[in-house]
Amino acid sequence: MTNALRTSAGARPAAPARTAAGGLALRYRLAVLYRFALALAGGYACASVTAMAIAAAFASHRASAAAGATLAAFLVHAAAFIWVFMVHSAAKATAGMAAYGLAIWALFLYAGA
Amino acid sequence: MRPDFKPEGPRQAMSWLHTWSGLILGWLLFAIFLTGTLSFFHQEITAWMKPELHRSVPPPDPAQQARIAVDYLQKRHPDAGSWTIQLPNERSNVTVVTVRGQDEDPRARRGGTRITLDSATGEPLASRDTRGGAFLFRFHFELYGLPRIWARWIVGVATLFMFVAIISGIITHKKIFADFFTFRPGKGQRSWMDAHNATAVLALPFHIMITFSGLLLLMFTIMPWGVNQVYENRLQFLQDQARTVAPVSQDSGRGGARRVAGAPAQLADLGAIVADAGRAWQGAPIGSISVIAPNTARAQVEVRALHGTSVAARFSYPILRYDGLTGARLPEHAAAPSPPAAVAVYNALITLHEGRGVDIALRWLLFLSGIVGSAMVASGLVLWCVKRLPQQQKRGAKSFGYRFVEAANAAAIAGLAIACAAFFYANRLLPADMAGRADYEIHAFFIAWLAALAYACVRPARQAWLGLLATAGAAYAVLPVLNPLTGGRALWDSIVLGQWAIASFDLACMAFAVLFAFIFCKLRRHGGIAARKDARGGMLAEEAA
Amino acid sequence: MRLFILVWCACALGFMSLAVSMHRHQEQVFGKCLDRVRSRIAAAAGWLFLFLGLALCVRAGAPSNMISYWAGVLTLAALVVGLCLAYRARQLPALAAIAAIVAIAAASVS
Repeated sequence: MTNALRTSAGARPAAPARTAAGGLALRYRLAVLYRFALALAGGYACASVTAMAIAAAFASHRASAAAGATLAAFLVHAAAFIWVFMVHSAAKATAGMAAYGLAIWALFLYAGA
Repeated sequence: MRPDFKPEGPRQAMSWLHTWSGLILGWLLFAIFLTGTLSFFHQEITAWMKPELHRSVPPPDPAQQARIAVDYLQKRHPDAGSWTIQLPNERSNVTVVTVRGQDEDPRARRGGTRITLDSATGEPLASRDTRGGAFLFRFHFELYGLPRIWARWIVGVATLFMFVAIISGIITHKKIFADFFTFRPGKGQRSWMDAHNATAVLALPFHIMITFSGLLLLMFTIMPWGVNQVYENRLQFLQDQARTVAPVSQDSGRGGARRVAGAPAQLADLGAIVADAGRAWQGAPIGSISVIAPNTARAQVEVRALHGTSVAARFSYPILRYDGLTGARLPEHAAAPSPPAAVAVYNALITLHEGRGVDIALRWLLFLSGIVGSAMVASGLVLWCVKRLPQQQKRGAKSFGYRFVEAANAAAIAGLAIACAAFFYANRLLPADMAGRADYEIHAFFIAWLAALAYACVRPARQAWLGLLATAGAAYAVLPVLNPLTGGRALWDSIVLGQWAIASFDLACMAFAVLFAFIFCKLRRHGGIAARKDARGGMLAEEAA
Repeated sequence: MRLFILVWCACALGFMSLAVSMHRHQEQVFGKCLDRVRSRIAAAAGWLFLFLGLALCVRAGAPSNMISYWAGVLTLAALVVGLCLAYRARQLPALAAIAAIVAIAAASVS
């Protein structure tokens, strides 16, 4: 009895994988869609805010700041994309992106926009 | 992401992400990758597509090439504000002169009147109206028929997906060193996996470079926030970037409108100047010669090398300046400081991506790596189908999604090759004086591509691939024959005369024809995966054919 | 052309050495596994040859250009060595000998 109730630490109970007709559950499809949207849009937001923060922080060396900021921004977007699909919980992914975005935004404001 | 939402390890998660980030836009990515790879040789493609220019056989001595061009310019444009002469080189068999008026900036990248000359006789040559290789080049990052900004965003998102696919592929590939040389032919899905791994890993630095730099090249559209934070607009950034590599210049006041026409004077012998530059650079090829204020007392000559100083220094070419009256070499400016690190990395990535100013050997290596990359994308797309074929066969009839991917694979991969061939055929078969022929060549490209898609939809997968591969192989085999029949320079002549821009196109066509024929033969002999399982009786009739 | 031949041969020899430092490919080429000492020597020789190729490149031009050139030649060399291992594994030592001879010939033609 207890075996059936035991699940891996932090995981929801397993959801039914397929509908009666044999296709993938709608819940699964929406979850996948959400992850991609989060990875694309949330990642883009994190990347943009990173670009602005780095450029503002090194504004005295204009060309380096702009180039470095953009190099970093694309790396951040790619990293965020990977990370969103690495973490198990969508809520954790969302929270993590939001936390990063807000932290960098705060840094940007501090660096003197 | 598992359908039952159970937790999975990082390798499994990345394997899932790699499959889907690769598949969703995989067909577009293949098109971008292949047309981009061809774009490394867009100049040669354009040269082949203008057969009227094939008659130009440059004399071997650059000094003589320069004199012939100057003779023409002295006859026709002696009072110009500036002349720019682009000498023929390993990528071009014609001389191109640009004439600018008195008040135009001689160093501007655009503007002026361009005239193509026969390098041996100096007579102007007119050629048919065609987009040439520039169509393939533009297509690969701006597509066609879409508003520019939309197209760049679509390509940008696709590039991001590609970058994510590469990273997730690296994470998921467990034995990247142990499997480095592993290729087991003739084993179905395993062979396709090996091929996908090999083409990915063997050119991995290139794939990472080309994809990340692709993002950078689109940055003014998709990630302008860094630049906009410290600059008013992108032009200021570009000027700053150029300034980081420009040599310290004493006469920077020699901009366009401020020059005053000097008194008439005799221009020095350009041939001697070119010969001197050749000696100073120890044989490194000369790209272009600019004569500012020719036939006046203020005449100056700038000789620019063909190959850039370094990919880390964008748009920086070795330049020698000469007095336009005496032909004496002027003291060189102090060498430019190296660009700062971030700018150097940015420069190197985008300059390598564009192949700007790189010599022909590096250009061929970039092209080869691009072909390997295209094979990587193609093998990945095919692998998706091969992997799922057994479970599709168990179902009895193929699902819509699977059928969609099957047809799209054939149309995107083999169909694109046919589309490019159609573009080249239209170039030669449409009349040279036809109005709007440049657009019709492009229409032929898309019509052929759509026809391939239609064919792939109505025929079973194996027949579709065989038919499209046979068409592509035949098309590319005939192209070098069509070349001389439609006014171009035949392959044996272009090799003997050293017109490598034209010869390499024909040779590449033959190589692609052999490649398609090889794949066709392999596929026909293979007989289909189901044919091996007929003992089990679960065979779809179409696979047995 | 001469530079390309030298660098390609160095990289190809490097990859061939690295390949035969692995058990899987030792069986393909020699029909048996080599002992650990030989495998280590092969691996060391492999890396040495690859970096010899890099050194030849960097001497010949601007570093950023020539490192890219080296990466490109690595791809071409790895492709040829990989195909040889897949289809003609027993002939790998012969390919190595050819590469060595061609490299020495190219180096002597100055």
